[in-house]
This record gives sequence, C-alpha cells and structure tokens, in this order.
Amino acid sequence: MRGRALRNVDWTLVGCVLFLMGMGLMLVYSASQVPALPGRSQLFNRQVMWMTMGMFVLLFCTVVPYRVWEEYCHVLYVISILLLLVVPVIGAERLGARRWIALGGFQFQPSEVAKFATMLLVARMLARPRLDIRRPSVLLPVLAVAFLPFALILAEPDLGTSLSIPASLVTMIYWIGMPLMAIVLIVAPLASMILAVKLWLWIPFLIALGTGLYFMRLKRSLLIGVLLVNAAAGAVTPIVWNSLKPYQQQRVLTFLDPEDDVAGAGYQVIQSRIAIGSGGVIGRGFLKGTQKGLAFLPQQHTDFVFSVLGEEWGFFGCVVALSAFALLVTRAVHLAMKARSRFASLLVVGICASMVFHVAVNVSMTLGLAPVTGIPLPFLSYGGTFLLATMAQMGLLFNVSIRRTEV
Amino acid sequence: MLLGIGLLVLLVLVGRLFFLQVMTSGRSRELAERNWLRPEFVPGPRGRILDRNGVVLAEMTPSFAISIDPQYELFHKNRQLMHDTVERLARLVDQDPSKFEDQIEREKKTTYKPVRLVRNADSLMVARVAEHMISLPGVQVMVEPVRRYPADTLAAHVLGYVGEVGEKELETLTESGYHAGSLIGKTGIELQYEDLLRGEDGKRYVEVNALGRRSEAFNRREPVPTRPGRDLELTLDAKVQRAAESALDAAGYQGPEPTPEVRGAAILMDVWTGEIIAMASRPGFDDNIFSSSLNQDEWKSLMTEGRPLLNRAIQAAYPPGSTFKPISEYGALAAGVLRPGQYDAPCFGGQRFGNRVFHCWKHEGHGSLDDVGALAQSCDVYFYQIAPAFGVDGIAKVARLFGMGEKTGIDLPQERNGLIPSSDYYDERFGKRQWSPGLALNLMIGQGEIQVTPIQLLRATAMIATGGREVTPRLLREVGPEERQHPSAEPKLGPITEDVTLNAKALERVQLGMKMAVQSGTAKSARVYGIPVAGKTGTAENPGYDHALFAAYAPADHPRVAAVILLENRGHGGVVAAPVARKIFDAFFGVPDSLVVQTVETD
Repeated sequence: MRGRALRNVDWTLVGCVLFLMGMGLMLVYSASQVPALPGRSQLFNRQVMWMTMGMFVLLFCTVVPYRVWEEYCHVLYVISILLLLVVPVIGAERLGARRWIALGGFQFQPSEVAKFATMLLVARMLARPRLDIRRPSVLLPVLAVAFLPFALILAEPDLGTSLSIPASLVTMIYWIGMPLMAIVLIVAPLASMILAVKLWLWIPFLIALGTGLYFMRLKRSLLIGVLLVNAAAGAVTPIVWNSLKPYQQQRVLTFLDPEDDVAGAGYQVIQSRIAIGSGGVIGRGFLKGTQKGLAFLPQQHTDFVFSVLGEEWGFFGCVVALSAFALLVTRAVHLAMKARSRFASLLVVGICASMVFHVAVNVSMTLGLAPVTGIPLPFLSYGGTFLLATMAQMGLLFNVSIRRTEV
Repeated sequence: MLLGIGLLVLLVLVGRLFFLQVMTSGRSRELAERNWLRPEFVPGPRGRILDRNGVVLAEMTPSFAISIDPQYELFHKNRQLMHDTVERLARLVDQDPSKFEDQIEREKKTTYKPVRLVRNADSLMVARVAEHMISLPGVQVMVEPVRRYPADTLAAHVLGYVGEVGEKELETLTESGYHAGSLIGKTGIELQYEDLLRGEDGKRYVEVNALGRRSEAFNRREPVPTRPGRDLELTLDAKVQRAAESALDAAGYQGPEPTPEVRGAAILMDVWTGEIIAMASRPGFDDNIFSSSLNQDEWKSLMTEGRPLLNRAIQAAYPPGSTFKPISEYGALAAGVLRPGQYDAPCFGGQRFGNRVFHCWKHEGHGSLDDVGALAQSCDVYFYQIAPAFGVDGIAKVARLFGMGEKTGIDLPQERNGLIPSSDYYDERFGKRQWSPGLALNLMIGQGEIQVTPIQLLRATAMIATGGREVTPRLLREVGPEERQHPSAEPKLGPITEDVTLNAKALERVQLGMKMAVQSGTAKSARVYGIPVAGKTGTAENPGYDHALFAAYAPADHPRVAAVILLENRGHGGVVAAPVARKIFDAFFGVPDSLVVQTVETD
C-alpha cells in the first residue's frame, strides 16, 4: 500500500503547493517589514507557525482515506454550522463584522471550516449513483445544504467568503451533469440582483442575456419568462441595497467608480494599482517596495498581498504566481477526470472551483477589476484559518491523487 | 469547458497585469513617488557684503531657533501633551501660546519639518529652554542661518536688509527659484544686487509614510546641493563710514530747545571714480532687527517717526541753498553774464527787485566783493545782481549740466530725481508769463522751488573739483569669485562716466572761491590739518528751521574726494555741517583731529 501510494503521488501538484507556500512565506515576510507599523514584524513568525500546523493538517487530510471523509463529513458540517451560529454571540468584532472566534491565543474563522465541510457534504450528496440532478427533489436538498452556511456567512457579514460556496456548488452541479443552460438560468437572477445597483450596468446585462439565450435557441416563452424573473430579481435590489451596511454599499459603489472615493474605500484600490503598476516588468526588488514599506498599501499582508508581489517582483513575479496556480488547477482537473470515485472527483472539482474563485476575485480586486470584497489569496495571504483550510483541501487533493484508482 | 473558463480568467488577469505593469508602469511609479517623497528646500547661503578692506558688513551666521516637532512620537499618542508643551514653552519665552498653536496648525499642512516658533533666540532664552528641556518633549533648539550685520547699524541704509519673500512677490518669482520662506533683499544693496548675493537653494528629499510621518527606510534620492551666493566688496570704507556716522550723530544744533534727533546725510566719494567711501543717513536703524519677527508697533515706528528707513543721501531732495552758488556762479561766468574779477554794487544787506527786497543772510552787508570773494563770503546780494541777466533758464541749464534734477545712477534702489525748475515749469505752474523774473534771484542762491538730492550735489561738487568729470556714483567695487552661472549676473551700474567740457577760466574762479571759503570765509570750520579743502556752505530756508548743508572736496589742489553734508533743521551750514565734513576728511586722510575753528554764524 505504501509503495503504491508513493508511486501515485503527483509530484507536480506537490511542487506547486510547496512553491506557493514558499512564495507566501516570502511575501508575508516582506509585508511584515514595515517600519511605520512595528507591530507587523511578528506576523512572519506566526505565519511560519501556521504553515507548520498546515503541514500537519495536510498530512492528516492526505493519510485519512477520503472514504472516511465521505463517511463522516456530515458531522463536520453540523459542527461548523453550530460554530457559525455561535459566532454572532461570542465572536470578536473587527471592522464592524463578527467573523472570528478566539481560541486560546488565536482567532479562527468558523466560515472557513464551514466552507470545507459544505464542499465535502455536497460532494457526498451528489456522488450517489444514478442521480438525476435536474429533479427538484435531488437539487433542492443540495441547495439547502449549501444555502445554510452561505446565509450565515453572508450575515457575519463576509460577502467574499460566502460567495465561494455557490462558486464551488455551481461547478460541482455542472460537473455532475446539469446542463449549462440551466445553470445560467439559475445564476442570472443573482447577477441581476447585484448589477441592478446601477442601471447602466444592468440594462446591458439583460440585453446580453436575452441575446445569448436567443442564439442558444431557447423557447420564446421561456426566454420571456427568464427575462421577467431577472427583472423581478433586479427590482428586489433596492430593498436588499437598503439593508446593506453602509460600508458594503460603499464597496460596491467604489468598485463601480474607484476614483469617486479617493480617501475611503477607493484609496485601497488606487494604492494597490499604484503598487502593482510601479513594480514594472521585474519589480522593485525584495523588501524594496515603497507602497508596502511605507504603509500606503492597505491590508498588505492579507487581502492585498498580491499587490506586494506586484510591487516587489513585477510582471514577472505575478505571472509566475498565476502560472503556479494555473498549473495546480490544471493538474487537479486532470485528477478529477481520472478519479474513479464520483465523490473524489466531485470533491476535487469543488476544491478547484474554490481555488479559482479565490484567486480570480482576489487578484481582480487588487488590479481594480472587482470590488473590494475582502477575500484572501490562497497560500500567499497571511491568515491562520484560511491557510489551514487551504492546506486541508490540498491534503484531500493529494489524498485523491494517491488513491485515484480506488472506487 | 471548466478549463476554458479558467483560461479566460487567467488571460484577463495577465492582460490587466500587462497593462498596469508593462504599459503604464511609469505613471504608477510617479504616483508612488509622489506618495512618499517630499522635496524640501535647503537654503543656499547668501553672499557676504564686505567693505573695501574686507571688513564684513553682512553675512549669514548661525543663530538659535526654538522649534517644536509636531511629528514627535509621543504627540501622536497624546495630543494633549503637545498642547501642554506649547503652553509651557510659551511661558518660558514670554509669548502667547495661541499664537504658537496657530502657527503649528498652519505649517503642519505644508511641511514635515519641525515648526520654528522663535527665530534668532538670544542666549538667555536658549539657556532657559535648555534647562527645562526634560519637561518640553518634542522641543528642539536648532541652529539656522540668519542674515547678520556684524556692525549693527553701520551703513544700514546702504546695505538694506532682507526678509522672507512676500506672497504677492512669489507669484512672479517662483520661476526664478524662490519659494515661501526664501530670503530676498528688500532695500539697499541687498535688493540692488539680489541676483548676485542670492544663494541657490538645494533640495532634500524627505521620506514620508502613509501615516504622514517622516521615515528613513527608502530614501536613496541624492539631495541637490546648495550653491552659495557671491560675496560683494563695496567701495565703502568701514572706518570712514563709522566716522561719518558718529560725526552726524554729534552734529551741532542752533535752533530752539529741545534739541531734535539728528536727521540728515553725509556722503564721501572718490571724485575720479565715483566710488562712495562713506554714505550715512540719520536717523539710522539696526538692520538686524529684521531677522527676528517685528511686531506691528515696531513697523509703524519705522515707517513714520523720522522715517529711519529713508536713505536721505539719495531718497530725499532739498533746496541746496548756497551750496548751489558755485554752480550758478560758474554758469554766469561761462555764459559771460559775469566777468572774472568783476565787482558789482556793494552789499548793504539786501537788494531791491521790482517791489520786493531780497535780503542777504548777513544783514549788515558784505560791502564790495568780487566773484571769488562773493563765493568765499557767500554774499547773496552779489548773486541777486547777476540773476536777472542770467535768468531762470540759464540757471536751470547749468544745474542740468552738472547733473542735477536727474538720478545719478548710483547702484541703489529708489533714488529720487529732485527738481530743477525752468521757465516751462513756471509757465505750467503759474500760467504763461504769469510769474516774476524775480524767481531767478532765489534760484541763483539755491532757494525756491529747486530741489536736489545730496548725492546730486555731491556729484556736481566733484565735477567742479575734477574739471567736468561726471562720474556715476557707485558702491560695488568687486564681485566675489563666480561659482555659478547667474541669469543676470552683470552688475546694474548706471551710465558710464562721461567728461563734460567746462570753461577752464570760469572753473578756476569757482574753485578759488571755494578754497577761499574754507581758508577765510564761511567754511573755516571745515579746515583740515595739512590738507587744503575747498567747500561751500549752505543754509537752506524751508518751512521748518533751516537745513544746514556743506559741499566740499579735498585736497583743494589735487582733489581726491568730495563730501556733502546735509542736516535737516539744525541751523547754519558753516556752523553745523562743515565740522561734520572736517571729521570725515580727518578720518579719510588719517589726520588726527584737526584744530577746530569756531564759527558763529554763516549762511
């Protein structure tokens, strides 16, 4: 068993993970070297500690066969939901949100555990043989299982993290055989709700949706129905909008026009763009970024760590990092196609989707292409729980990788 | 399909990165730099001003300034601490704390430097502050250069003073490298040769972090070095200047008590080159006071009472009185209105013209005099008699020939023109031919509407001494070594010296008359031991008490220097002004105090 396991290790996958971990350590080190903020200097040591713990978590997730995970994931799910429920009560408040639970000297985010558990549970539910995902009796329980943690996390509030659940879910549903058309029909009203904040964004979206569906030869009546549903979803937006916290409203508005709010939320995006842009082709050099070093860059060790990479390592460094992610995801998708177990395959796809979602949204945010939603970059951002969750997912990838021939 | 979406995302991200980091990176780098690098000016030292022997008259010297650093670490945590400190400091230096607070608020916005609260602090104040340093966090005693005039009031009017460039001036001067806080010459030589004296400011780059505090982690930008201004050597001789000033201060007074403060001017000039060896004006001022902050009252007193900032040698015009007689007599001789050695009707103390009697200053009369005697004794009647034939225009012409009524072109700002009235002037003022030719009588003796500046009188006197050399008086002797290219480095000197052809015979008579005036006439109190002096006294009537004047040159036979003394409202030229000239000549020729000839009354 041991010999076969070693033979089946996907060294490219392992290499990608180690490389990204190393890069993360380096970036957190750089981000902690800010003379203006002396309190940052201990971040690196903490991250080393988290990484060490992460290695154990990874090993644990690799060694425990995924069938065991499949068997007991509902326990993990229930625990994580309970944790999410107590967060509003005993959680530590930071920046107007309760997302953390203090445990000993450390704080951890139950939302990361919930994401992980939900992914496992959804994979298990979808993995049942001869499943017809198009039947509501099948689809609705899956949606409910995903919706519960999604809503709880959204309420923390933590928009970015909560959105990674539907991102994984949609991908897994597609993977199991849901037609693309149906997914578009499900997702479109959600998009309508968000875009309806600004009419000049929403109207073109509706036109594009209608045109797209027309060329996909959707039935005339169904097409009109879809547009009506979207219109209704958009109409709900003002109500939802008014229930958002002012800082959340500001984030959406700032995304739509960053220059509009130079001192506030737009400041982050502008400074991030300056940092990345000033890196040029080869970067300013390790520890030599002024945007970072003089603290102009906000949240540089967490959500905006990619800006540090851009400033100090330039276009070259950014492309290398993105390539490592791309290679990792490509290998994982390859693995998903090969895995003999439906559960393992679905799990890998969910992990991939979550990874792509985090990278795409986080990097887009630092580049000024997406609103500042506050989601971290896997491996590179400082942060304990998120790192452990990422490592756990990588552990499961390795797990599937060495047992891919098992059913 | 899934990989397709992933690839699309990757392409979008890489495309955006390419745009930001490859295509528009320069712009971002510029913005990043603007975030953290703030240029700050380091003033370039201003050139010194020296006298002809190298005595320093103006220089930059370190002075103590007391400042507070609003960026001080503890202040960030505790605002109240700063307010308390400011309050304590204000009490120590005897100032209003709210004034300090306002200044800190104002300057914090524009600079990251410590805010200078007290300029040019004296050593007692510094000692007091140093003693309490422990209870004054963030307070520093800094050394900064200030303009210092080591000899205090000496030649203050010539040197002028410097001040911070005004907001209005800045609008036009920013291009020339001035900025808020730059020193600029305001008057005198400091203003005249601003372009030469001014140092070129250097630049230092201050690193600032996002919290708005100074930092020193990344600054690799080389500072731009300062360039010192050039030293100027003046034609002044500090020793003679000092003698001229103390002679003015000690000037006599003949009027009713109480004795007023001295108001006047004394100038000594090389008759051949126009070099000004001494130029004093009273009342004086200490140009050092402008290095500390002046309050409203101090300014007011400088602008009104006695107007000490006025350089009376060039910026005020007076009727020349009898000091004009050598010129009018030369005019009459040269024009043939008067013959050398001509005796006119004797002086009985007055002269009737039309229905008016013009008095001689000597009421008992001078008796019979020739042209030389008339100058030596300054007999008014003799001049009244020539006046009608010579006429207003004859007088105006000769006055202009001697350069009166126009600026001499001395290298000092704000020189005045004076006034030489002609018949055109009177026509305009009183109407065509609506004025009496009797006006010429007054003009002939330097009274009436005629007004000249002391420097004009000096140059005219020098022309008599040299036989027509019309010099341009100047103060700049040499410019120190060139260390940088100036935009307008050429000294702005007036028109070059020109030689006016004078009538030799007429000149000889006038020179003789002036020599006799000192030897045996009204100017005996100007006699210098071993040096023959030629001079002419003047007592100018004016709405107040008489102005005393004296114009002279020495040695009489081989002239080297000319002097003009003017004393407002102090009495007779021979009594009050001539002794001042003697003291200046003594100092210039290095003669021990000459025997003083007491004179009682002159013109």
